[in-house]
Amino acid sequence: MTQVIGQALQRHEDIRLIRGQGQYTDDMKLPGMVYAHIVRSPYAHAKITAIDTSRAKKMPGVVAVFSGQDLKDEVGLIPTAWIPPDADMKVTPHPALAYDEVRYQGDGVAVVIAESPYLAQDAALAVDIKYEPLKVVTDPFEAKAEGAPGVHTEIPDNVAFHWQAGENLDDIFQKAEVVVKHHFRQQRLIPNAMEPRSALAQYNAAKGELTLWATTQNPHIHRLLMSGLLGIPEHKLRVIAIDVGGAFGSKIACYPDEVIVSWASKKLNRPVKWTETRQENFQVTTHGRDHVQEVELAGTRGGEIQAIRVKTYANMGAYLSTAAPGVPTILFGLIINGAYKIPHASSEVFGMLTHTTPVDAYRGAGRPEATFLVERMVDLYAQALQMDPLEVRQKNLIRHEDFPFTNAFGLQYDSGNYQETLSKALEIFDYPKFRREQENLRKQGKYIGVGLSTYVEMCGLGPSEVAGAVGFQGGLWESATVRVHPTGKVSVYTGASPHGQGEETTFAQIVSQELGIAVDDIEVIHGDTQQIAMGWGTYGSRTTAVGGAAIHMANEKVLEKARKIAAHKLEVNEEDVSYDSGTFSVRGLPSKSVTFQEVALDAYLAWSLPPGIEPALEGTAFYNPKNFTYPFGAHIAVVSVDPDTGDTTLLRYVAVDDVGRIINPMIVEGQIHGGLVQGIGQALWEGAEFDEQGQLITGSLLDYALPKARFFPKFETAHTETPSPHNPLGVKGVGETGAIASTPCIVNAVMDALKPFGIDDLSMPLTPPKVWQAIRQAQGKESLHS
Amino acid sequence: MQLSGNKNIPASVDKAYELFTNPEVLTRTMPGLKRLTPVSPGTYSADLEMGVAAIKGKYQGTMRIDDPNPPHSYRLVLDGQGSGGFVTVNMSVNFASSDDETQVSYEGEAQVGGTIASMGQRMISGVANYLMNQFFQAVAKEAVQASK
Repeated sequence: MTQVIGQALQRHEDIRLIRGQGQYTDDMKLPGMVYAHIVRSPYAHAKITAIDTSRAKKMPGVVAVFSGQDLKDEVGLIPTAWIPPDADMKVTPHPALAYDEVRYQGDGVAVVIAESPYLAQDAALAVDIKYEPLKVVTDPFEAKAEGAPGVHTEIPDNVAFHWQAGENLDDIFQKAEVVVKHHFRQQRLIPNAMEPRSALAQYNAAKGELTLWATTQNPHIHRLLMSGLLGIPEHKLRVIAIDVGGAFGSKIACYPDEVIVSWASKKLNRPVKWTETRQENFQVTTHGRDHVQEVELAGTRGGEIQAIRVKTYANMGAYLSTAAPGVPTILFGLIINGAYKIPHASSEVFGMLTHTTPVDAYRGAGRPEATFLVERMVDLYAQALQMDPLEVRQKNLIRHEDFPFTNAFGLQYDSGNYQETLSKALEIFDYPKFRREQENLRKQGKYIGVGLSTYVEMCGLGPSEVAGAVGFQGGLWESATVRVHPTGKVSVYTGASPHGQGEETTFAQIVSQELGIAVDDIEVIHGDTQQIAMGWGTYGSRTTAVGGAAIHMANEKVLEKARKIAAHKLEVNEEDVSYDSGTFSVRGLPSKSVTFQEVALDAYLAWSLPPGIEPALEGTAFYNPKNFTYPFGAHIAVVSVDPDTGDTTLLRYVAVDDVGRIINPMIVEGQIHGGLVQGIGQALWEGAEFDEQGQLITGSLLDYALPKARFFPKFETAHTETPSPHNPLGVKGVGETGAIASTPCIVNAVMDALKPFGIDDLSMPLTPPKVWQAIRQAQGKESLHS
Repeated sequence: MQLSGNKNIPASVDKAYELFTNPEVLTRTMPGLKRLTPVSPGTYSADLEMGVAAIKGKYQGTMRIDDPNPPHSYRLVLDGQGSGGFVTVNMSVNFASSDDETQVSYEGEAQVGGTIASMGQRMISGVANYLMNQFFQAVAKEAVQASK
């Protein structure tokens, strides 16, 4: 059998996407369709004192105008579906349209439905709303202060939850030889998927059925949640998300907009479509990160790390979005020791409500925030010891013989060889040579720096039992059906919902390899709740690890049955049949054979099947993972900083990742590049900012610095392959690694470059003005305000 | 956003104060102010149109002259809400005679919210200064005309 797994096949899905023949939600046009425009609050916090829709209703083409009052008794509240246990969590009531109080700039207040999107937008300007502005808080730390304006008056101190893990470490810190303390600000990021969100709802009154096309990473979760809050039974609700143009976590949540169009379609008995503008995408699609962290690390003078603890104020925004509470707790607080063998650790997290856009998962979701703090702390600890940061890492990395390794919070890292990835990175990058060059260049007034980061992440979400234990309101297994048609062609149905990650190709490679048929004979179908019984979607780098494993199990069922049918046809015992490259043959008698296609046809004709064998040929499997998967790696960045301008140039970036077994190296490479760009973006350029009134002042692509291709050198990537021991395919997951590893790597590099100035930390993003000011300050020059 | 500046108006202090508090003069001179309707002494309902580049907003609200201390000072409070968002201005205006002119200085704060705040942040203070300048120049012109 030729090897298909491991081949860099071009992405099957790109043919239609590049030609503009994909099927995104906004591409859909239905007869009689009308368009919704949501009227949003310009205030971050205000009482709604009056809404007058009469003028808007008279505008040309307007079909209806609804306000929060119209919806509030007819649809349920927008749900929060992750309730971390023992965290005293208070779910924030989140109506689809606000009717008494608005809590962030962009909170929906009314909806205008018209014959065209432009008429709807025009009429939205004629909805007269009076607000009484109220005091605003945007910072998660300040939100907890006494007297801070309340976001939900029933929730004291704006604390939505208070979560803790790990032991009391006071004693260890008191006795430690070296203690390093530091504050970090994980700035807020805006995901910026290329495709804005969109939803199209079509209600069929005669059948009582609703079809919802939506930009979602998890259509089945949407069906489940929407069924509850719309009061439409699950078997009468179909959610379709065929092509979704990127998400990075921002399309996990159940959003008000989808609920509004669904309700309106039922009300008006017409299909209703809503597509957000880029400005709305900035304002109301969930943001990511936004922590204030107080971190402490205890270690010996010899460079051995003994304990790490963190207190985090995580900004949740104005409402708790669908998966939001799990991000700064489970996905962050349990892995703050990173790739290091740190015996003691503890995490404390306050989930803070503020008058800002809700925050939810964003590429890496919690793990970048954890990796950042430990990787920065390791560098600061090394500095305190006057030791090279590489040496500290080498001393503390979990060793190969320690696997499976259980960390201080009880997570069991499945497999790893951290030294090997680091060695490989150091083969590509000559570290001692760099240190010599750096010293020489410093003498010439040139400042270059090297940054390291060694990381591990938990992904492949995840065992359903663990999901339940950590308060995720769903399962995390995955389904697959491999349906062989009478001609031997195959349709594969997956409950995962890829939206740019290339699994139509990756999954076809798994089926091609295992069933021994051509990749072109396989079609992967996803993103339709009517075609796929159940699934939990695509996030947390779970698609190939969990969805792919389900396909592998379904393949086994297909082969088992096909072998029985083949044996019957060949008139031998099943054990005497071998299978290779699409042909069943009798062992020792290769001329006596039958093809996979012939077996498929036999299965469907059912003229002569072995006793007890049912007609048709397909396999359905449900795979519930035994553990998370733990990809890891070592990254090295080289930067130069121009002291006259504060400008940072990225000179080299070396990424050695171990993401388990690689199915398609080109796709893996693409995922790593994408993650790196987003992670480096956080370090150097990106950052959402609100002014003191809660106005998002980085609300467009002019004001929010999304990285461009020209900002980057050619990434130097390499791999080791340590299979996950518990995953049937040995895969781990790659979608988030780049975003997790690269941010601290870059900041470490810039700080290394700035070392001669005595600068040991600056908050992200490390923009030229910030770096330049810091250098001036360090030189005792007057700082200038921009 | 902080607002501050000053401008010499070719008029006496009394005349300058009168010009700056006369609703008819303000309607003519203040950029974007479309209408001022007296509601009570010193309080007007106001219609405004303002924008940055392609983003235009229409605002309805009130304009008040608080703490009048003619001809030395008053406080201008403007509060508008509309389709594009909101605008509030709260600034003190002071009059001081200098030779045969009056130096009018202003100091205070303006807040802009909604589309303009999110999309035009980089330009707002530039535009605000530009508009203030336009306003003062228009009042200065009125002063010259009134003296003729």
